Amino acid sequence: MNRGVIEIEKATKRFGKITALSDLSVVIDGKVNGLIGPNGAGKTTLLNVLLGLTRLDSGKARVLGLDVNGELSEIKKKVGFLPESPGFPTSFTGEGFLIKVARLRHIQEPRKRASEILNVVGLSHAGKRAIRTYSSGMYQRLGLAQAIIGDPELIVLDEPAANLDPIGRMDVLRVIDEYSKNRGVSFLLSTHILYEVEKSCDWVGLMEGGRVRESGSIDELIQKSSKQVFRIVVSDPKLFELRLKQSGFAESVEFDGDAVVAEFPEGFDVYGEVVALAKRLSVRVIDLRRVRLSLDDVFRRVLKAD
Amino acid sequence: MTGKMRELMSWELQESWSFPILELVLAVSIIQALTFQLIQPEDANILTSVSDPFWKSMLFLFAISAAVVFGRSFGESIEKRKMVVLLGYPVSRKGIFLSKFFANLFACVLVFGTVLLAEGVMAFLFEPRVAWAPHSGAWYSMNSIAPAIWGFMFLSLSLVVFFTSSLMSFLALATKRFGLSILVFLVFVFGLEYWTGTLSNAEPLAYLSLSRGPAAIVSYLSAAYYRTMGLGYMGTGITFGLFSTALCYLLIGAVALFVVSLLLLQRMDLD
Repeated sequence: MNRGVIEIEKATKRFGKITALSDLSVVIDGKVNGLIGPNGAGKTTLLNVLLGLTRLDSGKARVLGLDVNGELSEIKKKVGFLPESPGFPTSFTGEGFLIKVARLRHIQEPRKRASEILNVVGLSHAGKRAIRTYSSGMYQRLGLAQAIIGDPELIVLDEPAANLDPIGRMDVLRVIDEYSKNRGVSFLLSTHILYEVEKSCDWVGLMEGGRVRESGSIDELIQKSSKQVFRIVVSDPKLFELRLKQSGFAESVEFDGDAVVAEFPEGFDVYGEVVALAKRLSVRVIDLRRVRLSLDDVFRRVLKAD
Repeated sequence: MTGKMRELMSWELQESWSFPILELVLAVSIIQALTFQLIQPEDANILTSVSDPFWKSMLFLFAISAAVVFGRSFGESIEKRKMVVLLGYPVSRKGIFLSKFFANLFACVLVFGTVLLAEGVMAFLFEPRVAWAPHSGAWYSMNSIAPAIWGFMFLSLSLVVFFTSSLMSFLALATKRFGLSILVFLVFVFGLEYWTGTLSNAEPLAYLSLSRGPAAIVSYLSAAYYRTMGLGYMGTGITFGLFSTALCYLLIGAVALFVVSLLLLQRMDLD
């Protein structure tokens, strides 16, 4: 197995009759890594396993080369974590809370550090206010602040842009970008928002049913899925679409405006067969080209295939 | 104590005893303390005038306070995902449990000990006949300001608070729910009070009661104290068997529930 930021080997976790992780093996080795998948795919369980919040029934997990079972305290020193729907002490002020977190992480000059981090996440104006008075967006920014305050090597964020408005989302992406490029920090994000992933991640894992169905860089995933998807513009699209379906050449055929978008099986001679079919139908082929899918399309196709 | 433990305890105290919890506990304590059967000059027996009514009157306060404080500290912190946030920092589950438990236990003992002290001061004020001096007979007397007996009451109080704290911690961690754990706790404590109330004073099981048990501990220790000091015989009706039933139930129960609670948190999956 390759050495990665995170290595999971044959991990299984069940909660009663529900299998949250099913014999999952994956190496996550990007700088900014994203886990995407529908609800119940096992993303949050996977993150919880990495932080020792949930124990595996079987299998192994390593974070930054450290074993989750035996070296959890070392992992926690090197990892910053923002869980999904976190609970912060609402009677504390934002600054007071960060000072306490800094002390728990043995940071020198905790007050100074807290003040710096409030500035980074755009909360310096609200540092003296009680957390209970924060809006949900401010609360989420505070979550990001407590995750980055210890200068970790890896930051794990579960739904980091939840409750944020578009500007707040852009700010989260800005922080991720700055910390990964300028400070060499690795990230692992779990999210439903594919825009965040496309914008920031260089490695993506597509999870479903407790497994990583597809993984790799965004380009790899898109190219792999786009390989045999073609957009065909013909003089009589209705007739052509009907006959293409009947021919059984394509795995899927659908309209996209005036064009027909079809996915063909691996190794199928698309150019030869499509042109031949059009000729037989006396339909003129105006344009025939490979489609580059979006991550959203890839996501839908992978899930549909299962 | 390590710096991290101190930090976690200060975090816990600031969070669990912030407004309005401390204020509420103090207010209820004062109201409960005021309903005391005040000591009459002619009836100055500390056990019948102070100790027995103290336990009957204060049990409600101990139970509700322990339920709220420990229920919030463990049950609510799991429910509202505060525990998940804490466990993301470089602190162990054991460290979190011990700091939460002892911070709240010491705070409860301090608050209730203060109430006990206030009761002692009130007792002194209502007994003008006693000449208070460092070596006066007041130290050894049966009257309401005998300091040793107040000391036994504090010991007993600490034991009850330890037991209720351990019980509530266990229930909060087992159910992972604040409301449900409080409900089970109150049904158990007051159900036990009702049941033991139907038993006679001679039955050891009657001393599983959280009001009768501590009163029995105070009475037995007071009698032993008088005997040891050569001050004469104090007839309390509490035998060694009844005393040890009350003591072992509270002490062993508290320690066992404490250990089980710690193991529960250490093995718990937080999702």
